[in-house]
Amino acid sequence: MTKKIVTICVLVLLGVLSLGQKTQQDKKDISAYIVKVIRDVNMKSPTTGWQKAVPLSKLKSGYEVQTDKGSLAMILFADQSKLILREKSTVTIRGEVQGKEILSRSVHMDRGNMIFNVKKAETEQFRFSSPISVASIRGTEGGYNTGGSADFFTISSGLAEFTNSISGRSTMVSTGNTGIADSSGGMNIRKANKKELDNIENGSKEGGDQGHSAGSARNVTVSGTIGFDPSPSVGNATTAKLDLSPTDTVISRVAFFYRTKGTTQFTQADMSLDGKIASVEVPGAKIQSPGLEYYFAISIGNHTLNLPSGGSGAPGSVNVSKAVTSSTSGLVTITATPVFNPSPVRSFTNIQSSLDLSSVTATLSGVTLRYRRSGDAVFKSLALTLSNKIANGTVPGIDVRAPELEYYFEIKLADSLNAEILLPGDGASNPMKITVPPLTRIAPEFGLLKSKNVGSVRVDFSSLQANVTAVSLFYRKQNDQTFTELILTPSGQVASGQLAAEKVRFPKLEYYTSIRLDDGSTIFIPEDGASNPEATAVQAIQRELRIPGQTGSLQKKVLVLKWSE
Amino acid sequence: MNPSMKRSAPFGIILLAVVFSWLPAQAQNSPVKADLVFQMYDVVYLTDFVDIKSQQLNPNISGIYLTISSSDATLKEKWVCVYVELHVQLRGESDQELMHAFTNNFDMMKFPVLAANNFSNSGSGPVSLRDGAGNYWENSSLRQRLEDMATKNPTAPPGKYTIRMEVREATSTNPNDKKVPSNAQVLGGDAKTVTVQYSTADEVFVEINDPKNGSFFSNLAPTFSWTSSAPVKLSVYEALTNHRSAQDALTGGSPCLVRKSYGDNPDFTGTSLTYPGNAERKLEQNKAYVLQVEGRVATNRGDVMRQSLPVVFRVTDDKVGQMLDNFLNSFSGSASATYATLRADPNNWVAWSPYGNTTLDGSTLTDVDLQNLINDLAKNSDLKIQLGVENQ
Repeated sequence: MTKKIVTICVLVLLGVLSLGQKTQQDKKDISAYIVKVIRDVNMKSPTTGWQKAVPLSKLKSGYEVQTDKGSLAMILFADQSKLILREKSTVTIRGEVQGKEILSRSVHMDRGNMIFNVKKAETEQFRFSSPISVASIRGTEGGYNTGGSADFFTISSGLAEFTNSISGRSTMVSTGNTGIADSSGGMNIRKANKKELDNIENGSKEGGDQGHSAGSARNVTVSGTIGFDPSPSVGNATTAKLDLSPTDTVISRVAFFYRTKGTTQFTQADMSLDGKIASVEVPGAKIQSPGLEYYFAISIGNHTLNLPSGGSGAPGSVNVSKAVTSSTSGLVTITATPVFNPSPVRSFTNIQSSLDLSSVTATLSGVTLRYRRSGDAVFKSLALTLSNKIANGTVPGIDVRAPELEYYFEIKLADSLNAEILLPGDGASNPMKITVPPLTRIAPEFGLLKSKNVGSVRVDFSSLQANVTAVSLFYRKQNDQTFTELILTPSGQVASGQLAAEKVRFPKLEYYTSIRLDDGSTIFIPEDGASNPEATAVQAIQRELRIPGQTGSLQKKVLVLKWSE
Repeated sequence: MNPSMKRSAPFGIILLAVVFSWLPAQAQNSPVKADLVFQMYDVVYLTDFVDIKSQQLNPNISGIYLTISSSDATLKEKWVCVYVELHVQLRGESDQELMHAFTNNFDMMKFPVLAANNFSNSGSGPVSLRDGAGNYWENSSLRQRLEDMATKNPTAPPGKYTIRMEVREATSTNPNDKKVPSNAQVLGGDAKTVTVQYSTADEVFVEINDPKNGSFFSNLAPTFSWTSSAPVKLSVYEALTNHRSAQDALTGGSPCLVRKSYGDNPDFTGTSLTYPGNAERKLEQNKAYVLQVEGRVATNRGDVMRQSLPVVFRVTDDKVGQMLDNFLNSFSGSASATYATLRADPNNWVAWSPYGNTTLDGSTLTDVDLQNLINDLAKNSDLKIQLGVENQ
């Protein structure tokens, strides 16, 4: 499964950059941030020497950034314009702002390879330059390569003016074309080749470009899980853990907020950080039935993000086991605490069930877990393995579904009557319940979606511990009435497909995923399916229609129509 | 002023009148035939006929002569004299007599062909105006006016010049006879009117009425119409893609259609012409042409062409223009206004495939593709279109 990148830092940066603009109208240096660093990236200011660049390093006018071999840096501006510097590149950033308005902005590249995604501004033009050429850009995506005897300027979306600084010769480079300026003053233009366009698209993906909208909370996942060890049970302390290893940014602090389900007040506990793993012990007195609600507050720089993103308004929850008492058979009454792992439970993930009956003096012949999904009529049976009076078994993931799993135990005594004790005592008529959160972790991954272009999608369902027989994506352009079903082609535990170009339209694509299991059931993600679909941004493309024409005095005038879609 | 010199004015016209005066004379009992050869001109340059300062006839006038003959082969000698009367009606005025005079007596058999050089020096040739009182009269105020006009303008004043002549029996064979032969027998007579239309070639009016400059139409047989005060020659030149003005087409291209109305194609007259279906070169779709009409002004120095302003017209079905009209006219804002200006006079912009293909993001579109694209765009009521015009 592809690692999903936490976009917390991006959200934070956007907040920082937007909040950073003063309301006063004084002119200041433009600022930008290095938001991603892979391997060796260095920076220097006009007054200082080279130093290592890290994510969230701030850049101002006159600052230089240099990437080493095999390295990469992503620079983000306040207007979400983005530069991705590939290996062995050196750039100098200059610019001026006045209030929120960008007055001027330029990047000079001595050598290297850069991918850019420049947002369109009303008046300002972003200028890229090298020793050989200059490009003036507004609302364009593409690539710029310099360092040899020629510069290559490729546009994947938009239009830009490209000038050979040596000869002054100039040309317009439009979508799908590459301008070439050489050191002898020559200027040519040709169709961009696949390698050039792939380079730009891959660069955009690497930067995590999802179009115009920031990542939603559902897209934020933490690899390694949120965990409680041991599984919370009433009155017993547990350690809450949060593994943030996939995060590339520096985390300064993590706080854990929790409360007993059904109460209103959260308790805050600061977590200790060991590298990227945060942990804190929750005292036993705070662990109460029926469950614990929680969220994490992660501090990055001066900003804090919540996980789950809803924070106190939509906290996560974990079941808290409690001791239950069985029915009585003869003189035997059993009190035990069922334990389920993992904790918290995840839908469509096998649950390990454990029941410690070592305190029972009677001889036991067998333990069966009876369970059902809430709403089902019939309980299923799972014979548990009994070893030293500890009964263990695995509830298959296919049966672990929102909103709850209902269960009770049947404990058979090895007596002459083969008496059966129910735990809890009412058995099927009043079973215990485990809250199962809805399935959200299966999220389609889209390639860069551009309006009116074929889009790619893949769904990784490897985390489902259930047999999947079919995966479909239902999608539509925003505000359309009907969804189109795309049956994805499975390959191992990933299913993929291509979205029809006419359905991929700026600004958004709405969708939900349908997964059919081998028991014949179908699940939707999100669970409301068509009535509450997810949405992902679709990048607008700039279209240009050119119609050569003639006036009545034989003058050639070309009509040029431009629009975004 | 020497009376004889005075008498020789108004210049060449009087003397021309003398030249013109030989009529089919009819001798008593002997037929006399006179043939006058001269050309009619719309503009006459006086200095080609006379020396203004000396008021003398130019002896080198060519193309004008008089032949006198008799049908009587046995006739050996015939003495005659000529009475000439000249009337002038200047443009916008009434007819006035300018002069009348008698020539001396001469033997017409000895001088069968008379040209201007026979009269170039007054009184020095065998045939000249008769001396003596009563033989010559002129309207001196009219003559003075004509002199004044000739001094200011090198061409003859526009008007009608009517010459009436009579051949009379000479009363003697004395060439120096000064007696006024007012009662001599008239052997014959004739009158001719010479009309000088214009004082200069610039007075000729030539203008194309239809088509209007920059216009376009879809049919391959358009009708041209013009206004001209002179007979015209009509030419159509093809405007090639490298021509950037009508003048480029006139000087750089070969004519597509040429029609002359004077002399060459007597069936072509009038002020309009529909491009003929049997023309050697037909008009074609998606081509531009330049139409020019030339009026011909006959002067004694040769024909002078007065040209109309050239008119550019295009042959196109304007499908793309109509598509864009329907689409952009429904938009409000600058895009629609810019487009409307481009389409209106004097721009008269039309999509022009000889200049290149319609492209969308660099890919060529057919007309059908373009219509489909426009239909698609029209469905989006929130669409914001920027429209620009690039000069090439």
